[in-house]
Amino acid sequence: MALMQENDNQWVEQYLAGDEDAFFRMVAKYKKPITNYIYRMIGDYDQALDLTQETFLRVFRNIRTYRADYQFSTWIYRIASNLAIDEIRWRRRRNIFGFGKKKRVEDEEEKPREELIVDTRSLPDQKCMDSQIGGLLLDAIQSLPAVYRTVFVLKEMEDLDYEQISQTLDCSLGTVKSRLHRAKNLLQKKLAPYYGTNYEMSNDE
Amino acid sequence: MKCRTTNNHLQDYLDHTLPAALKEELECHFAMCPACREKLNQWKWLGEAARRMPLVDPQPGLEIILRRRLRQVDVSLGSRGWFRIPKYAYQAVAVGLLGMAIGALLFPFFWPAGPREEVASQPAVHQEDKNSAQLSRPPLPPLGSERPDASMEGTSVANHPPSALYYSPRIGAPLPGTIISNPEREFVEYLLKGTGQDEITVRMPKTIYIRPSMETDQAYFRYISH
Repeated sequence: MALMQENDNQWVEQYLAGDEDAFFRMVAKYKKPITNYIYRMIGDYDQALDLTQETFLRVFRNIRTYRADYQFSTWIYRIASNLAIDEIRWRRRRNIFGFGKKKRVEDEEEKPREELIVDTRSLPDQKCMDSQIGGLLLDAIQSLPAVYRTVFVLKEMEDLDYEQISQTLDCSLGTVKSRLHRAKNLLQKKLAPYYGTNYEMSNDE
Repeated sequence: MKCRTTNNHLQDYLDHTLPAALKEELECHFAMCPACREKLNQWKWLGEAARRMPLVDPQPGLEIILRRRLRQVDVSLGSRGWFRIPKYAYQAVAVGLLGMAIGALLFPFFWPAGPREEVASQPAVHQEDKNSAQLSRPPLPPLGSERPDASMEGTSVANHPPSALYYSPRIGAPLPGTIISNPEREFVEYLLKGTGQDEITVRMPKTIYIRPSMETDQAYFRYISH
């Protein structure tokens, strides 16, 4: 991690010294994690691509304000988090006033989640199973409040440690831990019907 | 160990950050308590499912798109930086407009209603005069040459104390029950001078109540010093 951080800081210095390619080396390094992070936060791939672009534009715009005592990854995740949370709030407001795309009840009836899960055990392809479980998990994550969602995604999916998460979200370690605890409790309740089958699957390994 | 304590340490247990003794204690509890064991297993499954979640691909050609957008920025805004609208500017403007709208709506409720008890304490007047006074704005009192400043006749009141605004010819005489907040002593004297024998009801130092004369159809004032 220290070596990676050194690289990041070097690239920032090189970019500030006039080497434009250094910026695009950063883009190449972070485009996949940032796209995935935003996608998991908002659950919309197209919008995630747009917000990833916007994240890098903001990095470019504010790179002179970056302080090397923070990790570059923390800083870029912070920008991405702010954009994702803004998007979540915007969608929530839009839904309140009835402009958002509403889930059709008929669609849900046509495709009950239980049916998807029942078949997963017999599927030989682990990747396929994972994608279905991932779909369930993604849906459940979307139902969490933004603050819990951010902590859960950063910790369990992006594998950031508590210190990085607290810097990213600008809150204390205790707050991060309690939010993660609440997020897991909420997800546990939501995913309880699917837990048995899938857990056996993961134990079989 | 109680279930509640176990629950508090569950994430630390999964992170492997607990001291050995506490970890052992927790494991003993998990062995004995099916509910806590179930919760532990669910949390483990949750973490595993999260880590296994398939990754999506980033946008193809993202670097090219960014290069183009950054170049547009450089061309349109120059290399010195971006023009940025201050943060919360839109919200500030929206709040300001909303405040103005609410103020405009609420203004008639707070201004210029006078205290009804003061009306009752006034000398009795004929009912028909009262009705006529309520129906129409009373005409201006005959100030004429007794005015301290002749320029008051014009439409500009910028050089006069704010209280004079309520009495300017442009606006007309105050309606019955008009409250003039925080009048200045000069203004009261001005009213006294301008109205000759009329009286002014003044509650110093904060409020002045003005009512029309019913007999003369002129502004009628009574001066009471408190």
